[in-house]
Formats: sequence, structure tokens, C-alpha cells
Amino acid sequence: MKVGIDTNVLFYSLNKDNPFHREARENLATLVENCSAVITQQNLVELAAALTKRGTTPKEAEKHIRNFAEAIPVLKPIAETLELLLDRMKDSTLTGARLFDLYLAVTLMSNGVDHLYTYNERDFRNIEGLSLWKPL
Amino acid sequence: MGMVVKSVRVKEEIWENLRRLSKEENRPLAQLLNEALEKYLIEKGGKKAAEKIRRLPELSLGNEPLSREEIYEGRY
Repeated sequence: MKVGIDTNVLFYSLNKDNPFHREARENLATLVENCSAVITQQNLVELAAALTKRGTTPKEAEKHIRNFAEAIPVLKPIAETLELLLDRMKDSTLTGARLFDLYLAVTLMSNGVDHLYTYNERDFRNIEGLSLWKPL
Repeated sequence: MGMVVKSVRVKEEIWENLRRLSKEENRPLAQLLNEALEKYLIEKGGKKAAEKIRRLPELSLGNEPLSREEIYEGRY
């Protein structure tokens, strides 16, 4: 089973101030060890944005992004991704930044990944075809 | 995950053994090959990559939760 990793998991695994820091880092390491974890290019761009918004320089952020990209397979949108996004938008009430949640979900699903590890479960609960991953 | 078609050179004896095993177990060649490669990657690459994650630097970025709204709204 492949599990998509949400940006908040990557961010918390770096951020020692967050209460989920240790849990996020250890769960992520376990998924990586089993070759189950995947991320998308979108996650890496979002992580860069989040890090720099919280005071990290772009130069430092680049190193952190590269560390993740070297340890976890990075999925790219494919031809079916846009079609799936547009199809889901027809029956969706999502607006604004929430559409990026949907785009992440369809990027994973169009690459055959149907599980997501996230700390923003509410945002993904109603996306059909995507299950939320929980540690055993 | 999706499947891709790739061309690689393999030793003939390995290929023939794989075909024999595929017939004996009545399972597709691609399935056997994927299982073997995945096992190899877990043994060789997974532990090393996981260690890299465990040794990531620890940053101090505040204890506020991260949301996609924060990332995309008020972009500047």
C-alpha cells in the first residue's frame, strides 16, 4: 500500500515546536523504511512556501526540500490528473485554497495512491476514493 | 501506483528462471518482478532513506498548526 504524505507531516517532522513533531517524524520514517511513502511536487512547493513564511531563508529551505526529495519518491501530475480534478470540481463545493487540497488528492489518486497521511483530516474526509492513513 | 513499461537487460538465466517460476505459480511475470524489486528496495534503500528522515535537522518554526490556507492565502 502506498501512502501520500501531506505537507503538514513534512513540516511537523522538521518543526520541533509542534506537538506532533516526534510522532510525524517517526511515522514518516517508518513509512519510508517500508517503501510506502510517496510525496508530490505540490507538497514540496508548499513546504518551501511554509518554511519561508515562517522565517527560513530560501537557501535553507532548498536543503530541506532536497532532503525529502532524496528520501521519498516524488509523484508528478499526469494527463489524467487534470481531467480528474475537473470532474470532481463539478460536484464539489470547495473554493479558494481548498481546491489545492483536491488537487493534491487527485494527483495521488491518478497515480494509483489511495491513502493520505495528514494532520488536516477534516479537509480530506469527503474526497471519495481517498482514505486517511492511521498508524497501527 | 501506476505501471510503466521499461527496457532493461537481464541475464538470460535469470529471465528463464523467472518465466519458469511464473508458469509454476501461475502468476504474471510483472507481478513476480515487482515483488522482487520491492523487497530489494526495502532491504537496500528503505532503511537508508528512513535513517535520513530520522536525522533531519530540527527547526524552531512556532507551534501554530499549518494549513493550506496559510500557504496559499496572503501569499506575500
